[in-house]
Amino acid sequence: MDFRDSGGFYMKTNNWFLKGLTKLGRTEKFPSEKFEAKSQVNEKVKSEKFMPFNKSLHLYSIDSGACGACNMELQAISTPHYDMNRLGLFFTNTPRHADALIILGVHSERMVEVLEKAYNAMPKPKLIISLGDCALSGGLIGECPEISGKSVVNIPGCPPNPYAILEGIIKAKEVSSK
Amino acid sequence: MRLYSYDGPSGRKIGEIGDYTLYSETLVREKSVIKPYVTKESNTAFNFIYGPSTGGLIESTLFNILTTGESIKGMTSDPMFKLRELKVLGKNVKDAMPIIERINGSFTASHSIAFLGAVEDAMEIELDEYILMGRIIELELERIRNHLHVIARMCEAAAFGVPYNNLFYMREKINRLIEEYSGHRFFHNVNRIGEIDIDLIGVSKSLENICNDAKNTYDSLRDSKIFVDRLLDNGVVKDLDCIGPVARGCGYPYDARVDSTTLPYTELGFSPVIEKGKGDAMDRFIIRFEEIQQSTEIIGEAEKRLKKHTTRPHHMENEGEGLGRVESPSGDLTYLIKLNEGKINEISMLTPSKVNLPVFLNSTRGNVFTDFHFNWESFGIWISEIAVGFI
Repeated sequence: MDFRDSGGFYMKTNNWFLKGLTKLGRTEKFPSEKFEAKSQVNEKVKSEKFMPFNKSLHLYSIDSGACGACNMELQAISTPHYDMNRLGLFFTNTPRHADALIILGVHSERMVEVLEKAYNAMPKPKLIISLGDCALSGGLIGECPEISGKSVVNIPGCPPNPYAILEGIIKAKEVSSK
Repeated sequence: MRLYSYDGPSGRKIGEIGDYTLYSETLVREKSVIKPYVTKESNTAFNFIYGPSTGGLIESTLFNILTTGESIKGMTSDPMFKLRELKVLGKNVKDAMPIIERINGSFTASHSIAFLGAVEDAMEIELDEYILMGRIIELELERIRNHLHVIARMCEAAAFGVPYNNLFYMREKINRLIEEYSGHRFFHNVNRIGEIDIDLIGVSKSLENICNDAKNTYDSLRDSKIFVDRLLDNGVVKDLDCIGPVARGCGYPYDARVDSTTLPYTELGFSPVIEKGKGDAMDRFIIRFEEIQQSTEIIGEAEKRLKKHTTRPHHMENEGEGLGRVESPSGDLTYLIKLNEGKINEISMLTPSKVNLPVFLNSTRGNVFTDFHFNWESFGIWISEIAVGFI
């Protein structure tokens, strides 16, 4: 019987969500031994800021001109292998609820205003993280967004590995709290 | 140009590339006529702006939705917010490759192979079977990864946490598999003129478990009334101008793997999967899952034909014109280039996202707001390959 038959729906006994729940945890331990941290703290911004992010950190990302690879790797930190939530990190759907603005991609004229408006809409205290070579320096494509000069932490890579992203975000949180 | 000629229309229409319209057999010197998008004015309707920056979209783009509050009366889009201008003109192919690889991170292999197809056509380079089969495996791995990503995003729109996490778990396994074989999670620096730098022997065995997991998730999702209800009759496509899984979901057997000779898919017994339904998001969902299974089989067949690679010197022309076309995960992807003294003199690109965006906008009429994300994700459109120009 097809699910489209008789204009209705065909539903078998469905326990797929229970199957999912009974599977063992798939999240990995952070590979500290073989992981080489590459994120860099922006000392100038660090000395100016003091932000009490001791517990959770809510993230809002803006694509200023990325190829999509950084977007995919950033999104990957919420998936089972990495599970950002266990570390107190959460994505939010609006800058009004965000503690940190993550910038992806190169400078593009029409995104300048979007970035500024989003940053201004964020409640204080707030911080910026630049993710990927394009947001840091423009990479091979162009120039970096001007606002990325205010980044607390820069996460290099084209694109950075999800572990590198997690390490960089945690570093931004720790640096801001000191 | 060995594979195409400038002539009248012949074969199926694919889309606009530079000053030409590409058909599956010829290039026609005419601009593709884009149908004007007409929306009926209504006293009660108002414009709702969605984007350019939202939590619901992966990339920055703007949608202008004409609505009366719940139903969508019409929609336009402005994908050019994140416009990037890539400096490739005047560069030699080797220097341009890293930039081409970064047009769309998710389709790196497709872009680099289509671009190299055009270069090799212009340079009149003959490729051996190892390279052709290796490139087919790359493209199919990329297709599996992309389809898993698209379906996971559809599950996210339905707030289905378990299949969402299962599918992204599988996508991560594919990413790691690609890294294990190629050295980079997105196939960077793997493809070069007349060669590939990747040893893919054994890759099909590693895919077996992922393919079985995907099949189980597919069966579960098809049995879920809640999920199926969100996809049926959502985003019905009636437009002949679509390509890729969107067209195959409408029952049209449009596939560059059949009608492009850049790569020998037909030698592997390939024929496209089509779904003769209504052309809605459900059909696109089914097509993508079935193509995951099909791609796994293609990889198995291609791996059997991988023989030990011996690099040999190629005869290379420094000047010429070439066209390379492959089936990217979202549809036909084509490059048309002119080389002069080994440097890129002219370059044009046809991307599936650009062709399918107007089709998506047309398909939203009559839907309600909550349908939007399922429909948008089912098209697999990447703004990064629309908002891009060459200088």
